[in-house]
Amino acid sequence: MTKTRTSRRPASSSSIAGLLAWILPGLGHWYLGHRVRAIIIMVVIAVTFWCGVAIGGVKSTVDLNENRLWFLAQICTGSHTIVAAIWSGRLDPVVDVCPACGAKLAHKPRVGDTCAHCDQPITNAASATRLRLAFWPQIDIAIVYTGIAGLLNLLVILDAIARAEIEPLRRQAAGGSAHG
Amino acid sequence: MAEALIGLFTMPWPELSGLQRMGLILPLTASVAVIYKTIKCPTVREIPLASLILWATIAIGMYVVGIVLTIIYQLLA
Repeated sequence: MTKTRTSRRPASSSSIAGLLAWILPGLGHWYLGHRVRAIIIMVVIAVTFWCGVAIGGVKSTVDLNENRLWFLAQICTGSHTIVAAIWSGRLDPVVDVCPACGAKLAHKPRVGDTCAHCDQPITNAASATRLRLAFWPQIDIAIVYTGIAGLLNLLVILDAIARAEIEPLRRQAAGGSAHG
Repeated sequence: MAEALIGLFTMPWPELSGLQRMGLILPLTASVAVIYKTIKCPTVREIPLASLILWATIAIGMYVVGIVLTIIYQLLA
């Protein structure tokens, strides 16, 4: 009975550590008590992922239909990819902005309209349309950044699971040898 | 302020030069080195130096591979 309890405890904590590490990179290590490592992982993976999103724009970078295999790598960052995917799904690929101040316009502008933000007249309607889609090489760099962030978090998840399994056994062995 | 911050993640970067593209390998390799050493180092104190050494190794190695491949390409072209 006792044997079953001791063997179950690390397994459940390793599952929780792995799940937490997937939900938010670094949270698994935080749960296991490695606070400094957790903060490093949280910051580095978040910065890498969102740098990639900034390079390619969220619409092109996180796209399940266009980049299925890379999306599998990206989804390993958990909440980061989920937030980015929801955001990407809600965005239109084209946006109308004021050519003078860059503010988003409520509707497609016509020549002679004035911007509600800067009151400047719009002289060229074509220059007011901006694409939110990225092309080569930005799109490739963005996908590699976000994909690598995901694959790095996969390593982190496996490390959190391994630490949750091994550390209680190590502590037990150290305690046993100290008593023995 | 909020609109500018949103725009940072919704509008892709303008076209990048070859040198800028080469420079973008540095932050990515730094991330790989830091995460790998955060997992592998037995103590937290060892992480900065070990990451720096690994980062330099990866970055120099990749640039050398890139230069060699460019030379081969130029010779074959």
